[in-house]
Amino acid sequence: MSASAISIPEDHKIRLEIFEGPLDLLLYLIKKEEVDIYEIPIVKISDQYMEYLNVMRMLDLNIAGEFLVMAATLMLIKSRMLLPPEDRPAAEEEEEDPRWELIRQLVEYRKFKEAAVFLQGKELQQENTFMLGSHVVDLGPEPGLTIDEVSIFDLITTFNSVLKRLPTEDLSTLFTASYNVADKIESITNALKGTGSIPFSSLFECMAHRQEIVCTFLAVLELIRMRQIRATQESLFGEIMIMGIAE
Amino acid sequence: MTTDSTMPELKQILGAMVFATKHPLPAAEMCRVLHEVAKTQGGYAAAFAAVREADVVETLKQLSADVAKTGTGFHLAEAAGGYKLQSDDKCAPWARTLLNADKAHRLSRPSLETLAIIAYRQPITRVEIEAVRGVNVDHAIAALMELELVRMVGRSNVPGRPMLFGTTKKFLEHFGLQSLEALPGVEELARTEKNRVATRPTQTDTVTAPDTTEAEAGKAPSESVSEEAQTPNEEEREELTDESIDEPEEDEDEEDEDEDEDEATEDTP
Repeated sequence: MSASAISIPEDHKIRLEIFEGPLDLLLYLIKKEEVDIYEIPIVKISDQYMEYLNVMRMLDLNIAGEFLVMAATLMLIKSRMLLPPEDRPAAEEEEEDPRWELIRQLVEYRKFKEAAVFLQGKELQQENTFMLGSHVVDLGPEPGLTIDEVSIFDLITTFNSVLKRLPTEDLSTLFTASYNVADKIESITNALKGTGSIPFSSLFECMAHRQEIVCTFLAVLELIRMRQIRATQESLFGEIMIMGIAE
Repeated sequence: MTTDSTMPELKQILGAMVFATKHPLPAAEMCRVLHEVAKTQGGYAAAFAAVREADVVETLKQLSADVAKTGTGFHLAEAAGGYKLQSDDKCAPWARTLLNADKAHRLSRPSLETLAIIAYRQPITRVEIEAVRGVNVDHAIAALMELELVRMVGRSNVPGRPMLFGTTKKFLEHFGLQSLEALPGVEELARTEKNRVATRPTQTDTVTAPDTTEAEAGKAPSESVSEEAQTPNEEEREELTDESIDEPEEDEDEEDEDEDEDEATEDTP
């Protein structure tokens, strides 16, 4: 995807805080690409990583500096992997796989992510048990809310594929078409009124201008941040649904 | 507000206790409270010094009947070995919606992850947490401290004397854990020599700063961290003293800013 300028309309330079870090993204990609974490195909993963990084930067999302550090690290690992063994610097630590440190870090972090899921389950259980006595089974997971909330990377994945499907834009439209995030916030809110939930991707149907797509995406992020809408996924990497949150 | 000048009956006292309790309250416990108050406060309360558990059970039955009769939307229930007030099933949809509206105090995933790291690896410094998560955790730690799930338990001995964090009793309560051992896979994820802050192997290191984890070489995985993380690893840590609490934390934080993951390998400032 080229980095051609998409001017984010001044009225909405949202600096959305992204709490996920580079390890989160890497684990996301590893899961999505269904690769073995112990044998990370470094070229493929780092290319994907850069793609996501570029999207986030294009959207001017407030991402951690560590993303850039990781990008550099991935480059380094990639270059080391590409060197034939005999050309690798002798000083290199014990001839180990250049990916090793990264893999170790990812494996460890993943374990803590699992621990976090465990804690979340306990938290929910406590909540129900606490207030509503012993009838945990009855008042178990709320109907409709399946897996937990969708991550920023899931949203970006959809956004990215929508962008890719766009035919190359006519330069003239860059100047005539004018969209802004505030308008999109309004139209999305209206679209959700009355209906239960709609597929996230459907928001972009019939959109031909990059700027419009970007504004729509940012509007969704903002609405999520403001807790006016919620995004969920029925299955892992499945269709994302968005729905309004009742006042 | 009416001030009832008459003294409470046993039934009312038990009702108040069942109302106030956070966890299912066993009859024996209620009995114990009655006896204790009788002893420590005397006066009217002394009348209940001889109450037996059987009396409590009997009175609770009456209480239960009263509550049911007046149709309050909740009832007296017996569960998990104790008594507590519980909302009626037929009112569950409203209770649930109310709970969900209160979702605010559910933790986000990033917060949970930070919390998990602290729980398993305590006592642990901010930098060490970040080494695992790969991202800044200031915000997460602040939020967790405000929720009182995490607290400072001491200071590390490395230059800069960064704060050490550990979980609190409230943490165990919030998640319904009996103790830290209830965390799955504690041995695997706990603090060991292997998973110290990732630095280059320090064979010849000129560094004098005692690597915070050097003391742990050969130390068994510390799964025995007590609830309040009372014993941060011996010589390398200092117990929390009153002074350190009052110490302004700003300086310490600033020093930390300059240090990155390689803090253990930096030359002494």
